[in-house]
Amino acid sequence: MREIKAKKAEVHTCSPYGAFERLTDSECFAGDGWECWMTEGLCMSHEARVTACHSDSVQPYELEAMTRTMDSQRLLICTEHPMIVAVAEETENIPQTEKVEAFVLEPGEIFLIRPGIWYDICRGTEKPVDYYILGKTGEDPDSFTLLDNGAVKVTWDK
Amino acid sequence: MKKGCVVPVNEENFRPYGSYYHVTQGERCSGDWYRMFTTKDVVVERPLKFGITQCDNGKTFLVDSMERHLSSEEVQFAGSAPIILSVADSDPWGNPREEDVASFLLSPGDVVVLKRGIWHDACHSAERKTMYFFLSYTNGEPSETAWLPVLPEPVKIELE
Repeated sequence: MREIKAKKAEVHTCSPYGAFERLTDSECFAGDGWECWMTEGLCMSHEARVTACHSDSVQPYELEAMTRTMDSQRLLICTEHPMIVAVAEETENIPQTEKVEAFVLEPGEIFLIRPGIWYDICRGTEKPVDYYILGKTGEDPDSFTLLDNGAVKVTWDK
Repeated sequence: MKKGCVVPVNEENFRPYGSYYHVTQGERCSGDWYRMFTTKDVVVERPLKFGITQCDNGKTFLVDSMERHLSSEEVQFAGSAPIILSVADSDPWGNPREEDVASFLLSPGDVVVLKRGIWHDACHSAERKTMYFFLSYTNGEPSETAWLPVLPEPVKIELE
């Protein structure tokens, strides 16, 4: 089975799949007991519903199938614990085992996945995770498609 | 000083200030190790900027200033822990008024969309240090992001 290590998400490594941003790197506005950061530009190019996700899966795990949306961006929002998002480049029908990459998102970070990019449900690095997705629709369980050449084992080194 | 009262948010009590949604009102997608809930309706009706606020406050805090956006709605939802949102429907061209302040408990899964012109404070944590998320897009006028004091006095919130 192919085995990959999840890498820390960065702007240039995520760029083939979408736009990654560490909001906490931007200018901070603060008040008594709070601090906030905002994107400089629009976070998405269309309207969105809000999806709340809970994932009990923690690495290492075997990734067997992925999903995608052709007409919607997906904005992933990490909340309290770091999480792994696996992605693969757009193909006509089936995600390719050899093309899967995995990135770690941490609190304060967001990742806007482009339409057509294959992606998986996020998993925790050390603990189950809760996260949000903004997109035109929720996820369709029937849209998960098996990888073309078997599962990928995803791991992460602290 | 007026003592504020925090109530769990719902569609009816938030109606004067905007719209309320809950993620479990829409589609559910789940498996052995995951579950996802999506709002029934579109909540973010147009492209907006995205923001994160980290709040860390004690059990007692003051709602002493607010801002309002005449040019933008504002979507808000909690991260992993509940937050307290204080709002006021006072005249947007005056100051937020103490007698108009209302405070709502937003738990993870609650989503609100503040109407344009509604005064609001930065949310406070209800239990522990936490992040919450918001979306808006103001027109850049200085008054759109100006914080004005609550008059004549702040409202004090004391959590149990």
